[in-house]
Amino acid sequence: MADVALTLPGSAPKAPASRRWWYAGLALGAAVLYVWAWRGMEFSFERLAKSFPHAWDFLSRMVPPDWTVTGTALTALAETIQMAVLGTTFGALLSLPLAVMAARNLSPRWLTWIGRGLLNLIRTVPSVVWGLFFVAAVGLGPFAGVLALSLYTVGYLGKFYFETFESMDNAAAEALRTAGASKPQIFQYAILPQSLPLLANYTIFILEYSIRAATILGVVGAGGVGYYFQVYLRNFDYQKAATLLVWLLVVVVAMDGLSGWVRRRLVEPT
Amino acid sequence: MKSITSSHAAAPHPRPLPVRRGEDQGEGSPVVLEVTGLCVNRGDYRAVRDVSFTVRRGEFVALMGRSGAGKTTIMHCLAGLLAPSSGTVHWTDQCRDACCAHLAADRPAPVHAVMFQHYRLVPQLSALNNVLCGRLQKYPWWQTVRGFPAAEKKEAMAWLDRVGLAERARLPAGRLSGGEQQRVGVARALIQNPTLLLADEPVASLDAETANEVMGLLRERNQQRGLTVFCVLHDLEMAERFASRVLLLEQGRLVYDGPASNLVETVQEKLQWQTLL
Repeated sequence: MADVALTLPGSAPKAPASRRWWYAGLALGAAVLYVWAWRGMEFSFERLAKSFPHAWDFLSRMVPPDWTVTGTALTALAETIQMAVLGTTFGALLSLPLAVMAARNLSPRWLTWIGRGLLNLIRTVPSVVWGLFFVAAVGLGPFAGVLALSLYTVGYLGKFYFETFESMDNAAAEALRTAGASKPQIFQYAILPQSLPLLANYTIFILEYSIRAATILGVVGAGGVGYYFQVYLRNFDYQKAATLLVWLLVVVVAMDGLSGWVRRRLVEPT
Repeated sequence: MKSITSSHAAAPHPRPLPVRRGEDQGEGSPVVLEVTGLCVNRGDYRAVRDVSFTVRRGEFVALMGRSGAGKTTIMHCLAGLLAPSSGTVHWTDQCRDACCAHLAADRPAPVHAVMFQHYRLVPQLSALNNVLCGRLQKYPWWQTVRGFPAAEKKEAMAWLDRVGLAERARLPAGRLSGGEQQRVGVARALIQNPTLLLADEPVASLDAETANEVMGLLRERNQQRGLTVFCVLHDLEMAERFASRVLLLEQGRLVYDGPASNLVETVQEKLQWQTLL
């Protein structure tokens, strides 16, 4: 009878020495990173303990919310949602060709470098900086916000889209190629239909995120609820600011539920 | 029913058989496919070793052999999906060889249609649109952006009707059973009106009755329209019934090339049948 080697629980074979050294190096590197970050932020338990009365004072001034500004809050929130919807839509439309450029299975290598470079460049700039840029370019208001959100979302959606295209099963595309289909036809009839549920999933996620981003853009004058938020805080109208926060919370929770439901429906197997 | 086992159970290495070239296989017909010295290496493993054969117009050829014998690898070379390590593949007026592997990335001319072992349909598209994809080569891309002309849709529906799927034409392919998807693959291949049909296990997922119907359809196109069929089969009885010629592979080598009717006798005379199939 042949010998049978049994591996009992707790007697798993040890990783090779080189692997163990690699793990040790990784752990050491992580430790150095955390120490560096800790020192950089000047973390202090003493300051944290002293901060509680100030934080409580700030929060207590917000209660009860001043519901008289509900109308203003809802109008501003509607503007924020409009900015997010348009910004995400324009962003998605711009992202599609850039993602095709950046996807290795759809474009030549030199074009993918250009596409990825553009996306990295756009993604590097924070949304607030895009907001300031477009407020300076087209003036105060939601138009600047829509432009800022459009570019901001391109950076992320473009990356999500091209990674989706690259992760698609190539079998159907090969079948169409052997049937004589051209590259644009293969994209339209094989890659895009397979990618659509994921693309829609990412777009809805970004739409939900854009509502929060649009709020921040308002602070720099790009319209929406953020504008009123910074006005109330500057004037120490904390109760009015609290009303804005409550309604913003309602919208964000509703969008979260709605987008989650739509996403689940989209990724369900057919 | 005689069927090929896919077992890799230890079998004695078969003695090489003298390869019989396709005798009385339409000698006067033009050659539609010529394979010369085809070799495919996967790393150190030689998947296909010096395989040569020709296929003439109107032939119905079955490629057989155990799992891992190299059948699908050869099919991928013939379909232009895999560049051979050495050797050449000629289709009528085209050539693809190890020196011009880049051609595999180009748009192949629609002389041959391919049916794949795992269907390779687009699961999100309807069965009808999957069949219509077989017509993409007829149109430049800007004409198919908004879909296909009504006449094409009518023809695609007729093909779906031929394979018994007219009522399921609007369903996404991903919601069809394996057998139904395979029949959509048959319709997608035949709507291309090819000279040569390359079919990798075209009836693998079908029950006996549907398999006979599909093979009958291929034979009808073969006999009435002169369609040349080159298919991988695992069922010896089916090969004997439908194919005019069988190519038998063993460990990447072509060990038999001759009429399907003589296959069992010829091989059994030389060596044990089970060692090959």
